[in-house]
Amino acid sequence: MRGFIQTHPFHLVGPSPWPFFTSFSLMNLAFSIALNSHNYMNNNFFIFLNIFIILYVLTLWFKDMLAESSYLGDHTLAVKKGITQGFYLFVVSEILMFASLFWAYLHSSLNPTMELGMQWPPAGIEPISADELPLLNTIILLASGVTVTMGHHALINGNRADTLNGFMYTTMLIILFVMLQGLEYKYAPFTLTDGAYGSTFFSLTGLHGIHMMMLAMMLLVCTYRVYNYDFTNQSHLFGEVTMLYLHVLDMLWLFMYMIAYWWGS
Amino acid sequence: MDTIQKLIYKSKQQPLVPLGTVLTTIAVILAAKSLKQGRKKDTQKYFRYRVGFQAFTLVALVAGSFWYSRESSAKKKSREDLLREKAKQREKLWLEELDRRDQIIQAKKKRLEDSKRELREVAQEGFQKERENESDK
Repeated sequence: MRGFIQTHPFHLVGPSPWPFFTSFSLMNLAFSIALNSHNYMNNNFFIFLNIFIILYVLTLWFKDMLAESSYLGDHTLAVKKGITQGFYLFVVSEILMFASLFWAYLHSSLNPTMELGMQWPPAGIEPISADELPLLNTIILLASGVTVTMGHHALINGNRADTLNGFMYTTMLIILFVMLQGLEYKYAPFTLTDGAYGSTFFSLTGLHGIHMMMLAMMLLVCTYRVYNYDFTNQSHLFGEVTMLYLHVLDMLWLFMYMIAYWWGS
Repeated sequence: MDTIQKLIYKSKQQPLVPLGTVLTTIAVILAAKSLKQGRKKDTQKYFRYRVGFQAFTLVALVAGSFWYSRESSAKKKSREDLLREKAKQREKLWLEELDRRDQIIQAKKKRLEDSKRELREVAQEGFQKERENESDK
């Protein structure tokens, strides 16, 4: 009998193939992107295949994690503390990554070189106007902040219908944001290869866009978990970190809007 | 104006925008802290602050841009007025110039007439003297 009693609050994870598969598919993705960028391959097939494999493996991995938390009860208070800390470290690393890209943007724009025509936006570049589509995108993000805060309020007060509505509206707003950003890219008067301006602009807003796609997936899973009665008004760690992530990304977008669109054009 | 001057100029022109951004950041940091410590009511409060500050920043940005674009259109109007005034001045000066040229032409004509008359008078005198000399013989 003694063997079935756990004398510590931690979750000792069992053997799992998913970290192994994730590592291999990530390595394949990196290789196919690098080889593709250097013209060793003349199609995007392996890039899309590897993105699909990563998403598939991560789906299986996170499905296991949802089972461990909701059905097996492995996520004790101590485990949740560890997950929160891990997520915070992840957010800090994200912010540092964005900081380096902001640095690159400001490095190129604050002291434009001879090759850029000593001006920012560089000579011949027609920037995207800050008061058109980007403003609408900013308003959409602000609205998503409102709906997610409404969802959080309903969640901690045990109102199931409003929690579901909040998460659903937020998911739709984030998807709308990604679609509008895609349109903006499609009709942008400059490209990724248009010198320092194109590189810094698209790496900044593109990284944010990829994070927004991930956020949309996280919100979709949150909506499903609310629908599936996985969250209680006391225990909803995934919901909390998703909301925090949304707020951090909104804040980063505000900086991006101010620096890249408002000051930069 | 290079970007750093533009950045300082815009920050001075609309100081509410950087201020709102900093407040938004502080609200997110406080929300993260309260979330980690499990104070759910406070997290909700800071989320609301975050949305409020961001809305404030956005309103400040848009209102400021609108306000300054309006002022610049007023400036544009005054500049157009100035141009019109200058055009009028130029027209007036041109008319004066034309007058001056006319006067010069008139003066030249008058001088020509005068010299013609003088010549005629001198000739008349000459003829008179010749006639007198002939009658004396």
